[in-house]
Amino acid sequence: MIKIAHISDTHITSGEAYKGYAYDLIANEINTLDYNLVIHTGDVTNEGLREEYERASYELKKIQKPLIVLPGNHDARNVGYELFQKYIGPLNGVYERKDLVIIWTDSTIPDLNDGRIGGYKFHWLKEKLEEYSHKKFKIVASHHHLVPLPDTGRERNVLFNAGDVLELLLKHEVNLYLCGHKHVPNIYSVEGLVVANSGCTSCRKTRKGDVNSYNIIKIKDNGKISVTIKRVTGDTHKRDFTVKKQRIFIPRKKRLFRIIQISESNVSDRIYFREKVLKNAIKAINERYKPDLVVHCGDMVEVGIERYYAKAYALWEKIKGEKIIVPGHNDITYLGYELFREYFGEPEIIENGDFTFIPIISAQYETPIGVVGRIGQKILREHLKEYEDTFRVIIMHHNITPIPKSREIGFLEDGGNVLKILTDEKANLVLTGHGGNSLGMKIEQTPIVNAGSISWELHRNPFGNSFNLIDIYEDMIATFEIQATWGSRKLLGMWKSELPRPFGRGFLLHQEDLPRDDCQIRHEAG
Amino acid sequence: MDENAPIKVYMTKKLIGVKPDDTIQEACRVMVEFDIGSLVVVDNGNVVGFFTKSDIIRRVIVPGLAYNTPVAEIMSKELITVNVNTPLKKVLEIMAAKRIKHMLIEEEGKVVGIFTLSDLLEASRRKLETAISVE
Repeated sequence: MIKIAHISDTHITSGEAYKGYAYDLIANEINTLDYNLVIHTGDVTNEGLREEYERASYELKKIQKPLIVLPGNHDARNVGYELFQKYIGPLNGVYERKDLVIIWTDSTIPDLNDGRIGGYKFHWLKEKLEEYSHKKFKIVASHHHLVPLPDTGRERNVLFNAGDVLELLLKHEVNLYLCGHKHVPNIYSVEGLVVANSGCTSCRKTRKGDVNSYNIIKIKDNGKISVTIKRVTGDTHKRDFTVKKQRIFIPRKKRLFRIIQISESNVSDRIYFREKVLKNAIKAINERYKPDLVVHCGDMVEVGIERYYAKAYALWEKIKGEKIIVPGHNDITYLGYELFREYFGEPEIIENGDFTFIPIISAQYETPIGVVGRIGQKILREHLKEYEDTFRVIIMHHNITPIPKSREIGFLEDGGNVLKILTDEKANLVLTGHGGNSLGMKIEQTPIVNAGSISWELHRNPFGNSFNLIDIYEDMIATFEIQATWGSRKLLGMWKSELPRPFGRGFLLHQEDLPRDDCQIRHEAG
Repeated sequence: MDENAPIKVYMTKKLIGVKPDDTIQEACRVMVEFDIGSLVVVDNGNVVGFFTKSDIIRRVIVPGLAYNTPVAEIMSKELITVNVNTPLKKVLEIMAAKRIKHMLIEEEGKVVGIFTLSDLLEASRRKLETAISVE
């Protein structure tokens, strides 16, 4: 077993920001307990100044354990990244110990609080992950966070290329991502990757009146990982995880519901709008997939003008069956706010048997940045509670998880709090549609699926224009991305899913596209 | 595409399977439902067999086997696998040498993924789409 103390954001300075007694308390505890290793995920100093580095170098020596320290945005201030190497150590590096490898990277941008694992460094990280591919346990550490964090005020400073980094870590089956930065301790499981944020170890700036803390990470040879948030008050919050390599699904239960998820049709007369592709996709949806519900996650039109709305409405009407659409930021530009409601109406909750579809409005006037808002968050939680005995699907425009190949700037202003509500209340499925690329991942117990663009040429999806097919079974959810032109499929995600309760009558079995008993792949009684 | 990257980066990590005593017809329904071309056969959590659509044509349709034959009778029992850390280039070489389009990927003796040639076709699909979508 390896036991690691994960500290962060010490903000060592002679000024008020630094709480020396909190640092000494935690450093003493680390020395007296059986830790094999300590990782400091950045913001060692407060302003990156020489005298701060001198003091930090002295303070860090108090920790009498092997120590990995990486730089944070505060350390890079005032060209502090040069001093970091002189007083502390290398900005990037690799640590090996038996079955474990820890790769740390500098994610700072001089003079900005934002994060980036830029071109060369991203390539270096990729090479290191390839080189240490054989290691049973892999940890990557950087200062900036990867997925939105709750209780941080405005969501920002996520890595600019968080989507690419997250994709890289998941592809390489990294077990843990360790970071700090926001002074909020948090643990999320993202498709098997444990993302652990350390709170701040010795900075005065805590959030929501919290106290200083650090994280304890235990990695056992049997593949079990635990992360414990330990506050200076002695309070602990522990989470256990099992590294699972084999994920085989043996379909046994009925398909209950089929959703087609569309986004960014961007209907217009611009050359980038691919009308042919959209019509082809509509035909496939009507004739081949025959869903129970079609969900459009916004950006129906490219800009909010009457001509585009009239055209979009005519195309939307061609899709058969029940439909729901939430506005995207493009939809409410210019006259769009009025036009959206005129043509498509106010999005309303759909109750369909044991399924509830809850639209959440996140688009704002004339900005790609979305917000649910504090009242919106309350409403979201209330709805999730009100319908908790049904399968709750949340529908919104803005992505909550970072999207690969896009510059992530915190597209949902309060994404951290929204994600926390969704995962706390165990939303059964979340559908989003911003960013021009598809993505499916489960955070905690909640699968989150983003749709790429169905018919807009300016997308970021190597697969091309696409829409998503989401089949909900009694025991699992299977999500495929369907290429809008060719109909070829790509697995976005498959997750075991427990229904809120055994569903009675009321669910819809769709059997038209298959022989009579086809959907009941093999239903085992009980 | 990076030929030196380990195959774990390109493989599909979530597999769909059937049990050895499931009938061929049941297995084919699973293939149709999920629009997939191959299935692993799982017994007590272990992958004990594998078969593809073309195996069904060759081993079931042509010899005229009954559709209620258990899949255990037609599956390939000797699995061709490579380790999850094998570079893509090496995997492609093995697939070419053995003339197979599906490769099972193992880690510590357990099948953890599958890699098929269609996983590499994304870019060409997109190019063709662009070619025909011009109004």
